[in-house]
Amino acid sequence: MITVAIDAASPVPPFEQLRQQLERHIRNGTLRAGEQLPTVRQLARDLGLAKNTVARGYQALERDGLVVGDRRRGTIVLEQAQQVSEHDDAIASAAHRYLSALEELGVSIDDAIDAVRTAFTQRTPLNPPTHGDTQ
Amino acid sequence: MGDWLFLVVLWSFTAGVVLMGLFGLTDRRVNQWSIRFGVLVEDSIRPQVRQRLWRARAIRWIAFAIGLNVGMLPMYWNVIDAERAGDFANDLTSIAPVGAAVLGSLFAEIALVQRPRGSLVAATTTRRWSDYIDRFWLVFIAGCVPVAAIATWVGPASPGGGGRWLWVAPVMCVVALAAVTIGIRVVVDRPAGADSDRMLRIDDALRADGIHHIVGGAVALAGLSAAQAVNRAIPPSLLTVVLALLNLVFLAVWITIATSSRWNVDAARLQHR
Repeated sequence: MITVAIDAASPVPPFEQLRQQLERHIRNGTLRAGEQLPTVRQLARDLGLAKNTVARGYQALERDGLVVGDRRRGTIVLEQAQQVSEHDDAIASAAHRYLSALEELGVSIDDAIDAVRTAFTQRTPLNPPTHGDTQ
Repeated sequence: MGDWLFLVVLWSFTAGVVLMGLFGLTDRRVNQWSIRFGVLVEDSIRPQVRQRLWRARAIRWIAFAIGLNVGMLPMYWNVIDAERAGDFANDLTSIAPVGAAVLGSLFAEIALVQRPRGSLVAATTTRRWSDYIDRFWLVFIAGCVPVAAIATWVGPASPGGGGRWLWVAPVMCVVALAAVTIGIRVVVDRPAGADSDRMLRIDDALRADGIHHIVGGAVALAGLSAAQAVNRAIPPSLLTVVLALLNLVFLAVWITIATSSRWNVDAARLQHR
């Protein structure tokens, strides 16, 4: 069961707590693409919040491109959100591998970044990976 | 003497119905309930579940007992003033036990279910009404409304002044549909307050149980009313016998939907994915 919890004592406003938790669930794939989020009415009742508070959290997710509000189908998790997440994960993983290799060579972070820049500019034609490449 | 004897039998039966409502929820029934909805009721939460089931059951059975006595008004009046007893033998009193049971089931879901206090945890599972009941029965109830209305419209008025109760059949169909619509809305919208998978399943099972009781009664109410209207509209034939038998079928369907139909909320929910 995927849950969201609101900490009434937290200085973070409830709508932001809701947004952060839903974003985390979407980014790590526990809420899958195409899955329908509960209606504003249902979530507001279950959490004991005002409907406007939940709607504000949903609107923030929609602005971030993580969900889409559909009058008929409700609020749906977008596929793109998880693709971006997987793409980010792939980049982070490559960076970790690169850093591990540099540690063995004893290279500083500034030298490492310069080396990446140089290699990137010398590479022709420039062919940056697309999101689809990480699938 | 015969009338008094009948009243004693009726009161005894009423007392039996009330006692069944108050004391009929045995451990065996709770186990059957858990198997029916595919949920595990562990000892730690058993009293909580039992209390919830008991309250709803008590209200339903007491409502049915009240309806039963309203339905027997002609018998009561026979003792008081035999000449006026016939005034109370009408379509409304004859359908009263089923109507009262439906309204009792609805009342049980509206009145006695309190919002969990201080609950700030919610599941992200979307609740749909079709998670809790087979949509076929809703279509059936909705279909009874035009059938009863048309049969009443085209049918001849009853001789002997009975025509003034003709409105009862279509109105009872509308009452059944309204009870189901309101009941489903109330049950689906009820705050969950479930903070674990286990509690969420039990919460869903309680919702499904409530809706099954409302819909079961509503099917009987709408079916009996529509059959009554059609029976009036057609000349006596083999079909009237079939319609009379249908009444028994509707009562059997009521009991089946309310108490023994196997409904798994998880399985119903999977079909939406």
